[in-house]
Amino acid sequence: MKWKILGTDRPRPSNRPPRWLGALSRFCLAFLGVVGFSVTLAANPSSPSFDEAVLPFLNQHCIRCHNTQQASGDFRIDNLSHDVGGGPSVGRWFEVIEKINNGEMPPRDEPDLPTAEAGDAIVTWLSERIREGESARLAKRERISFHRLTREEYAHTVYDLLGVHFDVADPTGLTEDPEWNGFERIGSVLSLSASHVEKYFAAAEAILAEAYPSEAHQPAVARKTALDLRGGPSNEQIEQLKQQGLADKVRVDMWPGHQIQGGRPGPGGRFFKGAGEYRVRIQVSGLKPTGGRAPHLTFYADKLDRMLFEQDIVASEEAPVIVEFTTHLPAGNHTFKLTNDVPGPSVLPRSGRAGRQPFFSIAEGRIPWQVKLTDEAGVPLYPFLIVDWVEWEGPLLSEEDQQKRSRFLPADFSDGKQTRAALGRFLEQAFRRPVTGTEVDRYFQLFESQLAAGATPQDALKTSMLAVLCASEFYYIVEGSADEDRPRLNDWELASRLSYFLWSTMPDEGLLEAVRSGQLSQPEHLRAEVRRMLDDPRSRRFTESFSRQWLQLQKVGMFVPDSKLYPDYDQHLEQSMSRESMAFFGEVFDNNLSLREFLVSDWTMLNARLALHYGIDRELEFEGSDFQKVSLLPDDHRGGLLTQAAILSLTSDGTRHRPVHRGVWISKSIFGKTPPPPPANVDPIEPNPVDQPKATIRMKLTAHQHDAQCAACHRKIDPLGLAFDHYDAIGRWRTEELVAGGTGDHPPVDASGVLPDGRAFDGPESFKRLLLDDLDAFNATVVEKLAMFATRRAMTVDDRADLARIAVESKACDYRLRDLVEAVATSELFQKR
Amino acid sequence: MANITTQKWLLDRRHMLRGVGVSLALPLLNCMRPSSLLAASAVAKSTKPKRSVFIYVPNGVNTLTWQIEQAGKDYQLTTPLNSLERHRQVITPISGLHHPNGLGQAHECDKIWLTAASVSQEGGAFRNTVSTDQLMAEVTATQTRYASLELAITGGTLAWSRDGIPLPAERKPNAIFNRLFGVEPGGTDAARKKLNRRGSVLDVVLDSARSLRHRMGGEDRTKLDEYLHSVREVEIRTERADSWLDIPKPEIDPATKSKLTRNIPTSAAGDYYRTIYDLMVLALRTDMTRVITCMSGSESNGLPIPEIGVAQSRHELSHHNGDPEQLRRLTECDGFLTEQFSYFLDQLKAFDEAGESLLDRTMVLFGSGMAYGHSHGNANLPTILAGGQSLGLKHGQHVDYNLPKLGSYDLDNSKKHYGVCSRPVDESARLSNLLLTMLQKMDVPTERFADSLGTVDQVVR
Repeated sequence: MKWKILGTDRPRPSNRPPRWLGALSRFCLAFLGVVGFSVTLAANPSSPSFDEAVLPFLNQHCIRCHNTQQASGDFRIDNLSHDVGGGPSVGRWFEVIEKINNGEMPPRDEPDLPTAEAGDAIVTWLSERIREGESARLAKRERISFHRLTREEYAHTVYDLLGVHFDVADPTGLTEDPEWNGFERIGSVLSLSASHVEKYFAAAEAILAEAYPSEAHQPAVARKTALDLRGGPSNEQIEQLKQQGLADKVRVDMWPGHQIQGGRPGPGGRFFKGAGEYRVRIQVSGLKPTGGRAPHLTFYADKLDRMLFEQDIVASEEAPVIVEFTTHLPAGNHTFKLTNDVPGPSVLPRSGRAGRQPFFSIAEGRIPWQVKLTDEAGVPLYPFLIVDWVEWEGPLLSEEDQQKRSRFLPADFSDGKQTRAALGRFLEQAFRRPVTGTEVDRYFQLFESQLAAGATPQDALKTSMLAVLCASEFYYIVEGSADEDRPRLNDWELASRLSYFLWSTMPDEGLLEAVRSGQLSQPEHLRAEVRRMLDDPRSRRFTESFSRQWLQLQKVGMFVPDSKLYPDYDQHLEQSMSRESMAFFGEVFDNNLSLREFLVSDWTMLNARLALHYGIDRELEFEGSDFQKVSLLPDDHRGGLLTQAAILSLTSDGTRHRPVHRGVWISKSIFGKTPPPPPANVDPIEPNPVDQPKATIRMKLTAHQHDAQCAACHRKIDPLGLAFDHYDAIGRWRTEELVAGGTGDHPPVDASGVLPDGRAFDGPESFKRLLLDDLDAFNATVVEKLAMFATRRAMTVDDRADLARIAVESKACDYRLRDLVEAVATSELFQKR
Repeated sequence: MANITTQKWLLDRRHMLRGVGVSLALPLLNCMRPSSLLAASAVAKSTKPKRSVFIYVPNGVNTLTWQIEQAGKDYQLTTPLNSLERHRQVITPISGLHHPNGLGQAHECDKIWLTAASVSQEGGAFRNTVSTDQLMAEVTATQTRYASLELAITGGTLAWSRDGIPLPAERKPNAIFNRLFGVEPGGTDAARKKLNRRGSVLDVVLDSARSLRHRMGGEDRTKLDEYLHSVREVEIRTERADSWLDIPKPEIDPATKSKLTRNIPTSAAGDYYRTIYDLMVLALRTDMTRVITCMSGSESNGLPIPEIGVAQSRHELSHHNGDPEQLRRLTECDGFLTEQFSYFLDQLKAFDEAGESLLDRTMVLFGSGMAYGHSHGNANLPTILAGGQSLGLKHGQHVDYNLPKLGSYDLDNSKKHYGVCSRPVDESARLSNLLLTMLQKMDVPTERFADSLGTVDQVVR
């Protein structure tokens, strides 16, 4: 531990002992597993007390005016609670921060003004205490805690329970979940309103209607050929083509940007009579011009506003491929759009689409005034898609899904006992714990009253199941007991916590069996269960969900890049960006690599679109749009998370890169520190005057630091972001910064900097090396984020010893990710409520 | 069943209500909460509807071009506001209002626009309080099929329950239309059966949750209480739906229906806005509800407006960095949003309801919880009040709380004006005062709302 970004260890006047000595000794203790050390945690056990840190300053600069007698500005400081974060004065303390921060207090005309450093030290100390208080309030535990499932978890749970894919993000789905610092599953933040309940109710009705349809829907197949897919040849011509035996040779040529509208398997809602899984197959060729982009097939459902499928297609005219995907569709009348979603010449008439002429091949002769499709050698000039047919099949139902549904039906409805037992099985599964006879009775009575009111037995049972799916025990993860203060999870709760942590769904039969046999909480068995879960493909949900939330990938594309400045930016790129970061996390996890890889790596995960974006043009064979591990060379200027396009974009504003945002992101995500908020009403950075030489954002930021109040904080934040100035707002490498306005050449990028502790770097690579020296700080951040994700609450002062223990375990395993996740799942903290 | 274009529908409904007698109105009483019961007598006095609409502008505006400089009747509308010229007699632009609790808030100002709540610095644990519209809805709920309507164009919501829980807003025209006018296949009997079934299901889950709640004891703000209140609210809605079952929903002519249920890409921003506003007008004129909130853009994602050459989201534009080009676009975007608002007022004006226009009986508040977005200045909030003359509002002047102390605006000195937009000139000029005024005009029996100090008498006849 040599330096820290934020917190109390800023450089001190030289007559004081260097603070890092203290930090170092804390670390040594931590390695022995004696006390908590974490620099990134909310509470720093050895941070100075109120009397040490704040009182002298207040006495010297504040209390003279803000006391009982004077109370200047109607504000007293002398009576504020010294429990800054947890006490009743937290709001007032925040005002104190604001006033010092924005330089309003102490007033400028006071004779004895504190230095900027002194003011900054107070602000930092107070901010940390407030944040600790915040965590404590968030984590405030009641006898029973209720953590609502996120809609993603709801979907997985419903699928495991009833074999029904419910599309939570569709217009008929569920409300988006709010996030807190990127995390979507923090219990206290996930609220519930009547409109949520109405949506859950409607969802449950749709799910049960699909699981137990009142009439069975036989699977069917419908195929549309090129002649059906696109208007073109007249009926007469089609007749001719048929006679000539050419009708099935006709294909649809799709230029860049060309869209086939309204593709659907038949008129009206006849084909999609039942909701369910449908398989779509498309026979298609994809011609890629030399050195250019591959054509990109997208398949979009209009009514659902959902992209069902997209992929780069590379296949010669002679050897088309059949791409295939399955998707869940609600019943109804669906139309689809098939698009060749790549930039290229627009689909103007002169661009020479076949029009009314049936199209067979790009090799055919062209009318002289038409744009050429190929060069002399017959190589395509643009990315073309050539479609033969689209086929729909469904609804499909696997044996496994059918079995999930059947297990809750009695063999004989007329036997009340059987029905009650079936309902009991459903309740146990849905509530993820054993249920009492009284509980079963409650739902069984509903069945009986529905029967009495004239419902069919199946409908009556469905109504009871509907009630189960609307019960609090279903859509909340419930932990604790009504009649005792229980600090630890019981084994049923542990099973749920494990499965929602690692699989985002309800416990499977294996976990439930381990609970029943009383083995789950035995350390060896628990470890074995965790390993089994990590080996299971469902752990992919953990790697994707956690990485997305930790890195705040939801923000990618929130500021859509200006299409004039970044004409290459498209949806496919945007998705590829986030997928790289998630796939990267997945790869580190799968191979149990060290956390170091997140900071520095000589590989990354790419698909063709990103390779193009990064300018990595050596021979790489990409399969469709799949991601693969690619070795990096120094000239690629990539490696680790921080140089990934997703991170560089989400910290930009669509027009420009934002060094300060990047600094804040690194501070939060890598060091687990949230910098204090900027004071209100800062003067904006002036745009570049047209008659002045072009200036980089960095130059302007530097000019901005004349204000000591600003500089004190920004010195700690900005270098972290400036290190990545070589990357533009969509994450492309550059050596000069394009500046609008101004005179002269575009200025060269300067990505060098000095960290608060004085260590210098000359660009992203050397900066990343410096981060490696502080691996323990990063380790502690990842531990905290994982713990938050696993326990669905913010970490507090009280958790620090447990977190430190996990961090030590992680270090002992050389910071290997899978081992670390295992350490979290088997930790003491994990079994606490 | 009557076609709404013939305007007979309202009459039909009254007729029906009369025809079936009180028995129809009575079941509603069962689902009233005490606060609405209090208000019921006040409502009974006026049989004519009183309505309120709230439209939010995200991220503030370009305050340098938005600011009207003269107070009183002879004010000049500024460039972004000039589409309001034709509505001059039915609007009141107000300058200088603020929420004391909103000062310095970047990311909560939309959340407290109608609540005035104190924003704790607790991030995720932020607890809001009830919003103005929901207090109004408690009064009007007894009269309409839906208590209130929450809409948004890109996300977020303005409406917060008494528990301080956000009430999610509908965004898709199709979903909004179906919620309002959709008719379940199978007729009244089938619908009633479904509602009964829903009632029985809710009974069981409420029962079960209540017995757990009882065993838990402790304070009344747990997640389980949130669940209980929400399910109970759905039960109330179910009962209300049942009471309305025998009163047919208005039938919307197919042309209007297909126009309002199109799947409009957000890139066609104007069309999108006008469609949402058309739906609002339709909801009001068919008396499906009397209280509507519309988040015309979320703070993080107000729509870019390609049709006027603005490709950035409003949030991006608001962080203009002082760049003249960005500021110009922000003004364009402000003007565009105001034009859509003017369109909305046009539609409300155009509909005649027994000798009055719909606008006469509808108060509309249009504004933002942010003034100067770039540095998060939340004083001098952009605010325009419109309509509601038959409810006792008067219009025609620019009410300005800054000028008495400020003397005059100096818009060339941007730093100074940004200061006016960041710290209140008149501490007593609170947005809550205006919200209180509107609450009272809606017959909500209260003398205070949040941190209000009194009503805004300049807009009251």
